[in-house]
Amino acid sequence: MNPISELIQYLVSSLSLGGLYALMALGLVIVYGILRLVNFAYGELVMVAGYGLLLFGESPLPFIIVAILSVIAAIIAGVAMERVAFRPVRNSNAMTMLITSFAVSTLLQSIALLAISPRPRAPNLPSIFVESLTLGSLQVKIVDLIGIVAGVLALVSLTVFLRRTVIGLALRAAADDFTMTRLLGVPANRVISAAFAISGMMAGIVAIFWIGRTGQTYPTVGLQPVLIAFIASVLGGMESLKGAVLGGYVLGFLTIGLQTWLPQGVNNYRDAVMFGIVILVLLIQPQGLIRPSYSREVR
Amino acid sequence: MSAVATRREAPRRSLVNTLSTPVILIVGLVIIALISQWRADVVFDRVVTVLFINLLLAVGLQIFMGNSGLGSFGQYAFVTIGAYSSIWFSLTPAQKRMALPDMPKTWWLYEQHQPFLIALLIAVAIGGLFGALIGVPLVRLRGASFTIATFALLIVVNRVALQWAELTRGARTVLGIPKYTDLNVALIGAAIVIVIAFAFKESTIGLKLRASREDEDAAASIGINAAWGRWVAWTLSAAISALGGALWAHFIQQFSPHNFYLRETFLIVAMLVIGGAGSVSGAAIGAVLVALGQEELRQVENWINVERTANSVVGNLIPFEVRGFADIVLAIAIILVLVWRPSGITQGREITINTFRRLLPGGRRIPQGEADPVLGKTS
Amino acid sequence: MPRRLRLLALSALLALGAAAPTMGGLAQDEGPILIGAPVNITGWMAAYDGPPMDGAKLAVKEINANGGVLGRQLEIIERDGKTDPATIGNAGREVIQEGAQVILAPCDFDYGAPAGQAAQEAGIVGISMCASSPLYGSATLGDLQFTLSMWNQTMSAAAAEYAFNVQGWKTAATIVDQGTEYGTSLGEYFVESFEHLGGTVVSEDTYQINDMQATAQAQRIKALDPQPDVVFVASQMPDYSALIRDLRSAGVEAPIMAGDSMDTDDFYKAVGTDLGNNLFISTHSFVGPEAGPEMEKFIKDFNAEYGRNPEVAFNVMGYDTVQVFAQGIEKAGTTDGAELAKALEGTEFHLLSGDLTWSDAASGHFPDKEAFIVEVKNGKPTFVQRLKPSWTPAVD
Repeated sequence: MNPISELIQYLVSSLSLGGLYALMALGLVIVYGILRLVNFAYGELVMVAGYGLLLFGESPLPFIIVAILSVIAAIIAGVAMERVAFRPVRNSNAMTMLITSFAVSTLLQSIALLAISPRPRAPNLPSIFVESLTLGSLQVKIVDLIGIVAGVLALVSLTVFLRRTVIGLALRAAADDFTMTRLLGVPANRVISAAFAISGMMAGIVAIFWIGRTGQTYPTVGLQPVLIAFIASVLGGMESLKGAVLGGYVLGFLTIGLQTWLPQGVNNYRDAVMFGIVILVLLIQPQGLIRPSYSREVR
Repeated sequence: MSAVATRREAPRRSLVNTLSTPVILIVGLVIIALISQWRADVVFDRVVTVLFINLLLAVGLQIFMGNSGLGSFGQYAFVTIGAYSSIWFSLTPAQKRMALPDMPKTWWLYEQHQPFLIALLIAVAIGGLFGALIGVPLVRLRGASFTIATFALLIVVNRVALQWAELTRGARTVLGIPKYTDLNVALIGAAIVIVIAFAFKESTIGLKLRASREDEDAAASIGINAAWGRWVAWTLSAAISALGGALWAHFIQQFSPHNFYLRETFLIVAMLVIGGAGSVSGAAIGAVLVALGQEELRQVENWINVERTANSVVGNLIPFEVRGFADIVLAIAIILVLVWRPSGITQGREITINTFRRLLPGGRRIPQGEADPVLGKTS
Repeated sequence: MPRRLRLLALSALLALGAAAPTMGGLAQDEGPILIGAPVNITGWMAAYDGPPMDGAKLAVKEINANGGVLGRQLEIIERDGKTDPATIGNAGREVIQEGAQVILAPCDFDYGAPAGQAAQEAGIVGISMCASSPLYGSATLGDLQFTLSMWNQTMSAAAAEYAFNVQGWKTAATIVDQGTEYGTSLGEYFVESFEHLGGTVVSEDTYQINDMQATAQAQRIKALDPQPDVVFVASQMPDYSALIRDLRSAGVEAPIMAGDSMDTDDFYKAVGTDLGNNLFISTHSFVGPEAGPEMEKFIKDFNAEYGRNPEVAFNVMGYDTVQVFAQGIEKAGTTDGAELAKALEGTEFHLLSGDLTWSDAASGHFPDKEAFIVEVKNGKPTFVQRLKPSWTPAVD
C-alpha cells in the first residue's frame, strides 16, 4: 500500500472512531454542564438502545425504523432516569449524585443480567454493517463512512438545536450558569429533562455504531463507551460542548495512531497512560483543551 | 446548616461518652465473632471473615470521605497494591515460583520471605507510601474533579497490574497463597482500624479537617490548612486499604487484578453510604447490614428455589426462579437511602452510651455534639 | 425446620441471633448421591455456567430413569456463587454441609478454583465442567480435583496441528488479547505448537479487550507480503466478532482460527452469511448429527427436556461431567474422594465432547482429550473432525 492510501485509511478510521467518541463524550458533557453530574449510568442508556435493537429487530420493520425506535427507547430511559433517581438528589453535593449514578448503573446492569441474558445477544443488523467498499488499494467499511456522516450530522443538528431553539438557548445558558438561568425564570426541570433526553439520544446513536462493531449486545456493553467518554470529555474540557467534541476526535486519532505506530508491548499500557493523562489534565489544566466561554469561580 | 448547629444547645461531650464509641463498635464485632464461633458453621465463619475485611475497608474509606467530604472511587487501587505487595513478602521463593512465575529469580524481591505480620506491615507501608505520593497533587482537587481523578487512578492501577507480569502475573491468577487470614485475624484488623479511625476523627487534624469540610474559606481564615489534613486522611486511608487487600489476599488464597475493580468498589462505597459516611459507626453499621443482608438474601433465594423444585405450597406461589435479587436490592437500597436519608442510617452520628440510654425506658437523652452529615451537606 | 424459619427472617441481625448450628450431612452410603453445584447463576459468569448446568440436569434425569448409580438416584444441589470468588467458596462449603459427595465446579479457573478448594478440603472429588486453564488440575488444587475440559494447550495444539498437518498452512499471524489469562495463554500455546510442528509465525500482534476495533492490527496483517496462510486470533466474545469484521474488511482473506469461546450461537448470528466463512474453531464438541449417533440422541433428548436445541457445545460439558461421575462412582463402588479419584485417573471416557483420559495426580490430572475442529460456512458451524494433538506444550 502506498503512503497516500495508508494516510487516507488512517484518516477514515480515525474520523469514524473519533466521531463516535465525540458523540459519547457529548452525551456525558451535556448533563455534566448543567448538573455537575458525571453520569456513570450513561453507559446503561447505550445498553437500553442495544437491547432496543435486539427487541425491535425481531419485528419485520425496516432497520431505519428499528434504529429510531431504539434511540427513542434510550431517550425515554434517560428522561426517566433523571426523573426517578437524579431529581430527588439534585440539590445534594457532587458526591451524592455520583454515587447515585453508580447505583443506577449497577441496578440497570443487574436487571439486564437477570431479565434478558448474561450472554451477548446478536440483534438482526443489516449487512451494511459488515460490508466494505474497495477503492483502488483502499478498503473502507461502509459503516465507517456512515459513521463519519452520522457523527457530523448529529453534531450539526445539535448545534442548530442549541443555537436556534428556545430550549436550546436555555440549555446553553444553564450549562454556563445554572443558578443564574433559574433566577431568570427558566424552568429548571424542563431544562434538565431536555439535557437527559439529548444524552439519551447520543447514547442511542452511539449504541447503533458501537454495537454495529461486534453485532452483539450484552449487559456491560455500555462500560467501555462511558470510559471513553470520560477520557474524551476530561481531555476536551468537562464544561464545554465544543471541548467534548474535540476531545472525542483527538482520542479517536490517538487510539488508532498509537495502535498503528507504537510498539505492541507499550500499547498494552495504553489505557493506563490515557487515564494517567486524565489525572494530569485534571491537575494541570482542569478546563481541558477548551476553556469554557465564561468565567466562573473555580471551586 | 452549620448556623443551625451553632444555635443548638452547646454540646456536652463527656470523655466517657466520646470514648464509648470504639468500645461499643468493637464489642459488637466480638459478639458477631462469638456467634460465629457458637454456630461452628464454616460458611458463616467465612461470611463473617469477609464481612470484617470489608468493614475494615469501609472504615478506612470513611477516614477519608467522612472527614474530608470528598468522594473517592480509588480505594481499590490501594487494595490491589496491598494484596500484591503482601504476597511478595509472605511467600517463600518456592511458593513464588508457582504464584509469580514471571518474577525473575535474580530479583532481590524473589528471595524475600517474611512472617505474615511483617508482610502485612510492609504492604501497609507500600500502600501508604504510594497513597502519600499520589496524594500530594491529588488533594488539591475538589468536588467532582477529585472523584473523577480517583476513578482514573483505579483504572491506571488496574491496567498496570494486568500488564506488569513480573510483579503480578498479569491477567493470570496468582495462586497457592497460604491461608493466614482467619476470622480472628480479620477481627483484630477491623478493631485496630476502628480505633485508628476514631483517633483520627478526634485528633486535632481530624477536627480541623472536618471544620474545613464545612467551610474551607472560614477554616482557612483561622489558619487551618485543609490540604494538609486531606493529605493525611488520604494517606491513612490508603494504608488501611492496603491492609484490607493484604488480609483478603491471604484469605481467598488466589486472585487476579479482575478481583479489584468496579463491582468491589461499589460494594464498599455502598456500605459507607448506607451506614452514613459521616461517622465511624456509620461505616461499621453499613458494612454489617450490607454484608449480612446480602448473605440473607442469597439464603432466601436458595430457599425459595428449593421450595419451587420441591413443588411445595410456598414454592408454587412463586412463578419464576428467584435469582440475583441481592444486587438489585443493594442498588435500590442505596438510591433510597440517598433520596430519603442522604446522610445514611446513622445520620452522621456516632453510637455512644447515650444512644443506649435513650433506648431505655425513662432514659434521658444527654445532648450530644452535632455530627455534621457529610452527604447531607448542600452545596 | 428451624433452618428454614431462619431463612425467612429478613432482618440480618435477627438472623444472627436466631441462628442454629447447621445440620451435618446425610449419611454417605444411603439415599441419593448428592452432586453439589456451587455455580454462578447470576453475574456475568452465568453466561458460562448456565449452559453446562442444563446439560448436567438432563444427564441426572436420564441416569435416574435408568436406575441411577450403584442403585442410588442422583440429585443436584445447586447454589449461586454470584460470580464472586468468596461467595463461590461459601456456596461450595454449603452444598458439602448439606451432604454433597461430589462437586460440579464453575467453568473458569478464577471462579472454579474456590469450589475446587472447598471440595479438596472436604476430601471429595470436584470436576470443573469447562475450565480450560492448565491451572485447573491436581498441581494447584489438590489430588481430587479435575477439569472435564481440555486445557488451553490442547486447544491451541489441535488448532496448530489442523492448520499445519491437515491444511498444510505453513505460515501464521496471530492477534492475542492481553487482558485475560485465556487469551494470553491460548495465543502463546498456539505459537509454541505451530513452531514445534515446523510452521513459521510471521507476525504476533496484540489486542486490548473491549476495544471493539482492530483496524491497525488488520492493516498490519494486510500489509504482510506474502500473506500468512492462516490468522490465529485469541480473545473472547463479543470481541471476536469485532476482530473478524476488521480483518475481513481490511481485505485479509486468509482463513482465521480461534478458540472455544467463539463457538456460540450468537457469534454465528453476529457474523452472518457475509463474514461467517473460512473460519475454523478449535472447540469442545459439535452439536449436530455429524458428530455421531450419541450426539443425535443428546440433541433429541435436550429438545424434549427444554423445548429448544442445545445452543452451544457447553451444554454438552455439563452432561459429560455427570456421565463421568456416574461411570467413575460405578467403577469405584463408592463416592469416597480418594477411591473415586483413583477410578477417574487413567480411565478412558468416551464422551460427547470427545475421548478423555486424565493423567495421575502426580502429573497434574492433565486431561488428554480430543478437540473438535469446526468450520464456519455461510454463517453456520459445520463439523470437520475430531483431533487429539500428538504433542502439547508443557505447562509453564
